[in-house]
Amino acid sequence: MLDDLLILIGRFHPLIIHLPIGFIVLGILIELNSKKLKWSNDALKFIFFWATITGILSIVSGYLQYQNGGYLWQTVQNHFLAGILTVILSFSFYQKLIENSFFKLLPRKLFTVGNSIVLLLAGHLGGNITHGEEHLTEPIKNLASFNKVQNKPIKYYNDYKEKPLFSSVIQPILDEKCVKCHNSKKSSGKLKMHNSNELIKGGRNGSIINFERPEMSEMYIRIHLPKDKKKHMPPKGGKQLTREEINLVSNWIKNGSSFKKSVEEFKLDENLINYFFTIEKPFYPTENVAMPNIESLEKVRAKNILINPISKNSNFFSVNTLNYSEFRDIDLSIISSVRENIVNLDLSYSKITDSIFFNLKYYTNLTVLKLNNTNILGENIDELSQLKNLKRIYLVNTKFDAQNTEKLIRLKYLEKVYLFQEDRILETPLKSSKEFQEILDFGNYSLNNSKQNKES
Amino acid sequence: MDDIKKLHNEFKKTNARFNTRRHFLKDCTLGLGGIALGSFLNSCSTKNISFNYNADRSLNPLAPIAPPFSPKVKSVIYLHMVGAPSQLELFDYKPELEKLHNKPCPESLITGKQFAFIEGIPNMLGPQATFSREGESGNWISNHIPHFKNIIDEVTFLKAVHTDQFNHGPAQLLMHTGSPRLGRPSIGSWVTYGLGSESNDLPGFIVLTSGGTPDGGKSLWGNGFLPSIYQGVQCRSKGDPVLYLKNPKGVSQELKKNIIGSINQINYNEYKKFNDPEVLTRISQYEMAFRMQSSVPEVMNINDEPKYIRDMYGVQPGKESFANNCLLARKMVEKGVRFVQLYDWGWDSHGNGEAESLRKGFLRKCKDSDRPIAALILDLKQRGLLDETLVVWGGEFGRTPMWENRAGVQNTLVGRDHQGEAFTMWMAGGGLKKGYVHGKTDEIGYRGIEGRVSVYDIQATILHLLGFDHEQFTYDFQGRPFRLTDVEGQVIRQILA
Repeated sequence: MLDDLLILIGRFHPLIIHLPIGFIVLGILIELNSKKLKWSNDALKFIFFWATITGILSIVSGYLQYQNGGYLWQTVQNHFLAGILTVILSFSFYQKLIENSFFKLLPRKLFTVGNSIVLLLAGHLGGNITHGEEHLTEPIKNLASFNKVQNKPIKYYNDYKEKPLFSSVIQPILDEKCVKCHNSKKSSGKLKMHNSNELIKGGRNGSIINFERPEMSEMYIRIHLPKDKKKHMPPKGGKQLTREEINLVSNWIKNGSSFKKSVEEFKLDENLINYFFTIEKPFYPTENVAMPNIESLEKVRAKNILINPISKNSNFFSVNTLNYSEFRDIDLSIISSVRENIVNLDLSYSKITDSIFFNLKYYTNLTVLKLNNTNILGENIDELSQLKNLKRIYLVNTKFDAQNTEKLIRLKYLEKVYLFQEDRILETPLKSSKEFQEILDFGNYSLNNSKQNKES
Repeated sequence: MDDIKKLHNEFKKTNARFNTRRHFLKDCTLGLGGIALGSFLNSCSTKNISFNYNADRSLNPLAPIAPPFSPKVKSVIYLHMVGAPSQLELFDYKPELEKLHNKPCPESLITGKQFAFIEGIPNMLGPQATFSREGESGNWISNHIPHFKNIIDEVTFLKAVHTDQFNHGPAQLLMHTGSPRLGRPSIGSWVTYGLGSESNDLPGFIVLTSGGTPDGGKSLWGNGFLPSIYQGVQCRSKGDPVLYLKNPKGVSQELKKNIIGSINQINYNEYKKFNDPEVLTRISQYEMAFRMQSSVPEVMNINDEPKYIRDMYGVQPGKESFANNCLLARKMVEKGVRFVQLYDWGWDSHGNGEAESLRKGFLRKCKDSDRPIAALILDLKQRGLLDETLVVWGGEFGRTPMWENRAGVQNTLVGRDHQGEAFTMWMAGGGLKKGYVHGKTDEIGYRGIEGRVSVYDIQATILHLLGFDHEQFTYDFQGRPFRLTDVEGQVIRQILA
């Protein structure tokens, strides 16, 4: 009953806030024309009194809206604080108008200018919450034709040696860090950098590349200037070149700024090459997944199950039941709400059984599955054959049945399966392709180059 | 007396009259505004507000959290051979040195160099081992460590490591804390601070020693300026693993449980009263200690391992041995311990005593450590643990190609002096090239001529594999951010897979 009432008041927030906005705007208009209007002071008192009252109502209703509307504190906090500040400014202006001695010395402009600024801010941030972060910036960007610079992936080449250095690395760096201000639509200093012709042409002060004396190239000098120098590029507030990028661009300029020469011809330091090129494919999936709900993470953690992102800003998670050895098949429901986010699942030492595979097949991004020291037989392991990301399975010290190794063939994307059993010698009975045999690791390594005698 | 009381009361009343609600509303509003403005400006910082999925550290300072970058390994086993083993008798094959055996060292090699003991002109000392190429990689290996050939294709050699310290203590401190002076956190502490501990029942950073305590002392696994919870916990392999963990005589587990329960109840009441999160930390520490009473003896018990596994390592139950420690290291990593640090003392082969000679003491150290190290790598491999564990092997520096001449007189037994300019280390595990050699020394193994890497480079690489950028991983202390590698270090990208 009371709850519903509070929700109702909260819902009125978007309506109520327009009252103080109206009052304050009206007040500022009167204040600006106060010399013409004799009654201005009385009116202002009245107006800012009511601005304060309705402002407080807005804060209360806004708070209720935040409490019951499912908003996160991170999204509302700035809006909330700006709102409070608006009310405080209105209230203190009112205090000044009724001649509170404390505010006598403060200039009136502080209140009028300050109030307009925080009001705008609060309103804008509120708009961001209801209409989305980009509701204002998007059309502005389109108007100014700031097309979003595409982050071209520089990495993951395997045939980089023959590729031209300029088009494969240098231009992407320029695109990312310079073209924002130096393009066909906006060209600071008359300089455009979005293709090689424009680079040669240069800007207001001529070419930025000096082919005769590379070290004197404007571009080379500017990127090496200390960051706080005015001529340093990219400018102070902008996205800076990394040390390796500076190094590479310098190398390119010093070796004649060729637009055609291949990576190999530049004889770059191996460290530098490794920074920009790698043949290594990413281990975990690269597609984006939806952000998990923080509450569902807390629920998992409350059960003493470890759940953490694989790296700080990743939406992919590792889950480990190391500290919850009573984990059973049914407990999978605790983590199933975030199953698409799980890439690394460690259920070792738990009490799971083979029926778990019927549920695990829905963990579409699962990459590493650890089932060590469990009673898994591997009966239904082929249920996982739909998992395109599954690369490693750990079945060390399980009850894994040698007959079930054949089922693993159906998991086409596997890279490694660990099948070492401390208490017995497990060997596959099947005669399959050599490639498949290499995926299976039965362990039993010894220092005498012979099989262990486990009976002794 | 009454008059004074009256006067005092009057003073209080008058004073109170000045601090009325009206005064607060009239005169203090700007102050309130300031407070609000302060927090408002605070939230205006340009740093993006991103969601933090990590576990909350305020209740449990060891709660595992994700590193900034995708890691290649999640735990580390660091094998430190205390005293500095001779690279010239193990991995760095120098046939040219054989030709110079017992010939005086050219003066140009000595002038301006600092040695711990060499004085005047020493003689050169040829390799005290025979070498062969082993494995598919065909890397050189000495006859003193025959089991190593089984794992030679798993490891990456760094053959031109250098350090600027030539005495044991400072060199060990530099290797493990990034500074030759006392006071910095050890690498294990940094890692536990940055990643936390997965296991609820075991410490995140465990230290095992054999042969003796290293010269650098316990500061080698100290927490420095990091909170003390991140320091290494030394487990003894003989007697009680952790002192004072066992219940005293006449105290049953049930009684202990009740005692800890009561203490925690009192602490919890305290927490409800003052809301101080430190109290919760304390509660979790009591609980951890209680759980360690059963979990530590369990993980430290090597008798439950199958006999053929114990034989593979060559363990000596009940004794303090490097082999036991290697097996324990595997068990700990299996149970979620983040950083296991092994110290094996006795590699200081100067040649001024049997235990310190290359033909006696050194050979025994080789024999005692060869089998367990090879077994450790293979055992980690067959359990799939090598994919996510980093094993690092090395001393604090290397040894000279000259025969040590203490006080100008050639030592009676064969031995070498300290050398920081060039020595060999190796790493194995996730994210590294296998069977790879990085770096090269000159013809006599005196200094690196290719692929030189510093101690800081090694630390930077270890942190890199764990998912950190060593330049960003800092801790604020005494007014400035500190990092493990101070102002040095570059990730050795050539050895990354």
